Amino acid sequence: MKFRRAGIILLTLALALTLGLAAPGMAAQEFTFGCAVPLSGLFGKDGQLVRDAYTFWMETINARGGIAGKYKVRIIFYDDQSDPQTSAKLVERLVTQDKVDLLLGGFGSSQVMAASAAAERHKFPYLSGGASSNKLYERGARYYFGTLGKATEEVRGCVDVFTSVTPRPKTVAIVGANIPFTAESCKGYKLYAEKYGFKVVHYELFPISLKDYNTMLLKAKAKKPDVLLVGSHLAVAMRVVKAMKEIDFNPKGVAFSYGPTVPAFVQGLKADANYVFAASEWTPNLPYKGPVFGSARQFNQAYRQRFRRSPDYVEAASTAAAVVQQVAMEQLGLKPRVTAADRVRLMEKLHQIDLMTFYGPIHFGKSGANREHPPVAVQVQNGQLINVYPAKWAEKPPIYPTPAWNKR
Amino acid sequence: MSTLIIQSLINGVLMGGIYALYSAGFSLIFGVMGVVNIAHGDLLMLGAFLTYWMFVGLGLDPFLTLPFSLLGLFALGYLMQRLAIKRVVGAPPIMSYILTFGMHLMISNLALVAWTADPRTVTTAYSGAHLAFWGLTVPWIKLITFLISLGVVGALYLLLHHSQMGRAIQATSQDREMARLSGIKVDRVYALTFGLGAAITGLAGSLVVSFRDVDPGMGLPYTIIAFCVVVLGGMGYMPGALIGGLILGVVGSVCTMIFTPGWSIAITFFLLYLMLLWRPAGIMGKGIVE
Amino acid sequence: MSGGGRRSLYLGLAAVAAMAWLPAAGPAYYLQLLTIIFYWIGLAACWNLMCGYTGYIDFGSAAYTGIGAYVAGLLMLRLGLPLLATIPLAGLGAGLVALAVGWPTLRLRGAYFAIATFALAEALMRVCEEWSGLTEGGVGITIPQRLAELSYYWLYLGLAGLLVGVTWWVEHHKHGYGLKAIHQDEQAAAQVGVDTHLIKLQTYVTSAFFIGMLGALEGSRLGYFKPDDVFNVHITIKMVIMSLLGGMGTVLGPVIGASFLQLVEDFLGARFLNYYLVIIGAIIVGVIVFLPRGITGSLRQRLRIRPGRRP
Repeated sequence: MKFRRAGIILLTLALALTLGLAAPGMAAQEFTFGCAVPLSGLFGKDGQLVRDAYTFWMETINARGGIAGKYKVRIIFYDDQSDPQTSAKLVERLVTQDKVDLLLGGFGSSQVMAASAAAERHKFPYLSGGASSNKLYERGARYYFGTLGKATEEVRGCVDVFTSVTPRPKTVAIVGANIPFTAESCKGYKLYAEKYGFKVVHYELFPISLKDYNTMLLKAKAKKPDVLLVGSHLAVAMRVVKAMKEIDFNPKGVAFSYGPTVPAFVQGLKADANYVFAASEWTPNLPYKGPVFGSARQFNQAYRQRFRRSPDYVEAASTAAAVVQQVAMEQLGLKPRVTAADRVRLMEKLHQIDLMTFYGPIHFGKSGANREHPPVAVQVQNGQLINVYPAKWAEKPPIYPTPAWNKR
Repeated sequence: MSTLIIQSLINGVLMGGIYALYSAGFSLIFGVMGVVNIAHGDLLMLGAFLTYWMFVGLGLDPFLTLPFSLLGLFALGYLMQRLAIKRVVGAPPIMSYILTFGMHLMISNLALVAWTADPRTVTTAYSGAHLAFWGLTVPWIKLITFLISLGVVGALYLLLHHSQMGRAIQATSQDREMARLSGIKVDRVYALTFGLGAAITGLAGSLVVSFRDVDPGMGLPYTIIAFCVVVLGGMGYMPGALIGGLILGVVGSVCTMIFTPGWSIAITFFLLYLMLLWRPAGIMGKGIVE
Repeated sequence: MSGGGRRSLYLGLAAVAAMAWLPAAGPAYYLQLLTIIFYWIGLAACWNLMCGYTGYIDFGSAAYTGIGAYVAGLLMLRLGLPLLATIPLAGLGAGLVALAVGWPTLRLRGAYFAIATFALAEALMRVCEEWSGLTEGGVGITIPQRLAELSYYWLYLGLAGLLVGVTWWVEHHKHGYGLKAIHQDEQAAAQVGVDTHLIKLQTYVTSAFFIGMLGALEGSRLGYFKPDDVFNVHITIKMVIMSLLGGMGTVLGPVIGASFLQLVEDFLGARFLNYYLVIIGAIIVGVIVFLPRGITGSLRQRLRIRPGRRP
């Protein structure tokens, strides 16, 4: 008797499982997108931003009836735990098990490298707005596209802004975490600093797991640079600010490759966050305008309404990746279910597309790397992110030299 | 140049005190129960978040939150021991690795759902304030943390060796059955020990949040450093946490100054390895070897 | 060799044969999932071979996946060797390092051994990161060659099968008795004439050799990695957890532990995006509280032992 009951339960479970597995692919009037992003682990925060960006795109599109006005969008999200092996596995799962129509890109250089390689094997276009390692474009991949600039170019605003200040700085120190994006940022800093005639007096990479930043920065302080340039992610940027204050390190300016544009930076550091510079690919006041979201300013407003905070440039770049894929789909007149041949056409289309969006011009060309955006720099002034470079878009002039720590 | 070396020595000593503070609880729990607590860093994280939320929500100064994190984490540690850890006391230490690893997954991921992955930190009017003399700087918060660390390790040492409760704990850690026969409530002693270890760790977390960012996933690296510190000093030998912490802190900082931060980590760990070969029961030779 | 032992050997061979036939029949995603499961079975079996039987907790096994991955990767990049030729060399590289490391380190016991091995792995990762002239440092390297997807399936299956076979052989061979004796009482074993140090060293080096090969293969499968990816302490932790969950010092422990953890993660990860890691944590806690001998050990005991009691 007992056995029979157990048997029935098992059968029911098996049935439920089969139905559950078979479910995707039934509704043909919607497009299913798949996305593996880090929601836990080292990049848990950044992955969540990317997820928010895609969710926002999906909600906006669906409120207007869907892609081409009639096909709703559904996104399957998975957590890759900031692990490349898992990221590649999940892309395989999305493609072969969940049978999604198309993919949306993840976050982090290692994860995106592995995931986009898997996408390439299945001939799925993979557009990312959350990875910018130069290595992504050195593989000869045909299905990989990135809306962010290459890491070495992306940080250019950080250096360029110091050509516009007086007195013009003479020396810079460069430090950065030794992982792809941040290490390549430092390479970019060095390249442009030398180009503009700033003397690089200190250059050092450090492990991301470094515990004590004080001594590391002390070495930079000893070289008395006019400007400190930091290759950073959010947490690294916060640690650097804390340590600089503790050791009383007062360069005339300090700039970060990434971090200050995320709201958590100002929330955590409060007044200590003031006056730092950051590179940006995008700010809401840029004069960009395009399909779906209208102008950069309108995108910013809508995003604020939804999440009660301004979007970071990675979120803008990720949303733009989804938009450009959508526009290409509409131009090709794709219908659900997207076929293998459709995806090849889409890939070819994406290489040719030249589109103006709220995020700025998007043109991938042959390499898959987006055309360089003009470098932009922001500065935290009074707790607000202010566009300070280039002059034609600057909301306010940069504050330089920055006041000493005890005068902020 | 010599100022820089002295400054890096100071940084290293302060760092060592911080290492010692968050390792002391780990050492206590291992020394008494033979349990390797992989969720150690997560207790630290909980202490840090308790302080963070009291600071943000109630505007309470981080130092005023210390009693709350001591009490809160004591209660949590007591419960953890009573509900689960007691199952693995006396079993091979490997069982405790995996049980507490499961707890680590639960705590850190529940915290992730509740508080998101945002890195957070507490910035007060005095954060970053420092003593400055002879061209050197000593940040106040780290100095106070260092002194608290000395106090905690000293108090634990006294508690273990010169008090009624300490004698019960000692007796239990040496021979459980004997302790039981002589009327000691072994389960209670264990629960108190675990609670105490957790409380100190929570305290460390409350202090860390003032000079470092914290997030729900921060725990595991802290656990690993605590493990290293404690093994270097000798498992279960309380002053060893301080000695181990100071060695790791000073070597790390001075090597960062002389070489690079990357090489300093390589050298620190290689040195740790050599010291273990040289003194297989910790640097003082007083650790427990099972 | 006992009849039961032989029967289980045949059963094992039949299982491997069935798995080898599967690609002809199975759906694509499950092949991918199985590929990863076999990879982890291989790693966990290596760990179990050394640590499960001797009771030594190696907390630095990721050093050998890292060495394997970098040796193979750099041989391909710098010398242009074909991928398959670099795999045994990667194993050799890992084995040689293990020989040099194991000789002094295997005299340590318990937590001291665990931290000594961890410290070395951490130091090696930083050396790899700092020596950027050779390794390109923290930016990582892109691997120019890759095998066909199914090749990884068969190679991992073969290696996992081989390693489980080796474990089975060790279990039924004099060598295994030596290892278990070390676990129970090393001094006593030495007194009755077991060369404990040699046995430990042999096992340690063998296990590192295979970990190196697996690491090298996985590096090429991913196509790109940096020191943080292949020397990551999470790799070691996963090996430990899988061995323990399945049952340390048993032939099937790693098989069950690795499959269980990967399948649960895959199943729950697709359904409970926010809570799946919490659930996995709860499952692990549950297993230890209610099945203190690991899944294999406890099934064998048919749950006769009461929870919480020491074996």
